[in-house]
Amino acid sequence: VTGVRHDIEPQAWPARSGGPGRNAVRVALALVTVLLLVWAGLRWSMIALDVHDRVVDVYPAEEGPTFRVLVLERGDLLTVDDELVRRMEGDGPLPGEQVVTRRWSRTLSVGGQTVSLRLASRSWWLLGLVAGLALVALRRSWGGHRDPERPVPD
Amino acid sequence: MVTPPSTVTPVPTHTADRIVLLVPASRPGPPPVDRPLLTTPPPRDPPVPSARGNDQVPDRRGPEATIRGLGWWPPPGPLRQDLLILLGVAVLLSLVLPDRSDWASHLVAGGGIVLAVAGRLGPRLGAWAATLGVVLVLVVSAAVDLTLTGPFDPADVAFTVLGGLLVTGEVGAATTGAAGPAAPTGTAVRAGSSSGLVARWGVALAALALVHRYGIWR
Repeated sequence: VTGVRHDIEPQAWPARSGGPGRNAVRVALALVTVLLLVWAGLRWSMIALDVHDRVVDVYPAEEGPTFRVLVLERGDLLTVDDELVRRMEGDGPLPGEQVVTRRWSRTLSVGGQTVSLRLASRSWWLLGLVAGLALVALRRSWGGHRDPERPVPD
Repeated sequence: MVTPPSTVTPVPTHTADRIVLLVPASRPGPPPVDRPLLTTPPPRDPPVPSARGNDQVPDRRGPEATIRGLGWWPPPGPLRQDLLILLGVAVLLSLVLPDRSDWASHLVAGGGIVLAVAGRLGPRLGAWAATLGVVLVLVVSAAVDLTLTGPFDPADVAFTVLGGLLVTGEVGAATTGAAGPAAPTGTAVRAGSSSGLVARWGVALAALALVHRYGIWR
């Protein structure tokens, strides 16, 4: 059995149906993926959080050394960037300090001091990695036809 | 003993309405055979020495036939590419983010679910099966992270969906669905993996990801 069959009926290859619509859905899914990671980065940097509470404890997160967990008086657990916690600890230990920030604000008040909020360098790096992989994924599935030996029925 | 050739000429004789040739009984012919006639077989090549030892039959099928004989490993085609890329990216993630190996698990789980869905629904839905599988992965992973495995982390959902996007889930439904006597020949057959194999790989990858995330490898 050799060679490429060009006489196969087009309906035998359903993978080609709905190409543009399917590509649009996959682009939307890739955008959702990137936006989810942006959202995660904004939460880790506390930009997307609304906090008016006192810090009870701080400990390393199980997610690794680049994250820490803030335990708040009302029982909330916040996983935030270690980089941010080090900036917040500038004038002393965090437990016992009042933390105030509004959602989408670029500053945070801790113990009367103002700390600027920004995405951590690791978040930017992660964002680039995921966006690149999403582009690779879109490139692989674009049009649903990748095998050069495979006959194109339409 | 060699019988000399006969010199007697057959004499035609008329009997009723036909001519009968009378042949002397001493006419030479093949010697009488008192055992079954056997066809002489063609000469055979001497056996080729095998690297596996003198008692083993040499394998002349080639490396590709050997790979096909494994059964569980897909033939060259979309499924093999999907697996290599998904597992390669997972290994890469584990290397560059060793403290977040759970993201590699989410990635493999997402790819596995999409392959399972594509394997089950591919013959009916074509390439839409994989795309709908990714949508399903988005909904299910968000729901599970919000309810069962929280606290909710958008990055977990992002890596799960990314795994689903990385596999195209091209089952080649026609090549496998028509794998009977009427199956198309040529590249069409060689390019695809069976939908059952795709689904089994998907389930296996999802189970592997679960074990890695919550099991002994964590």
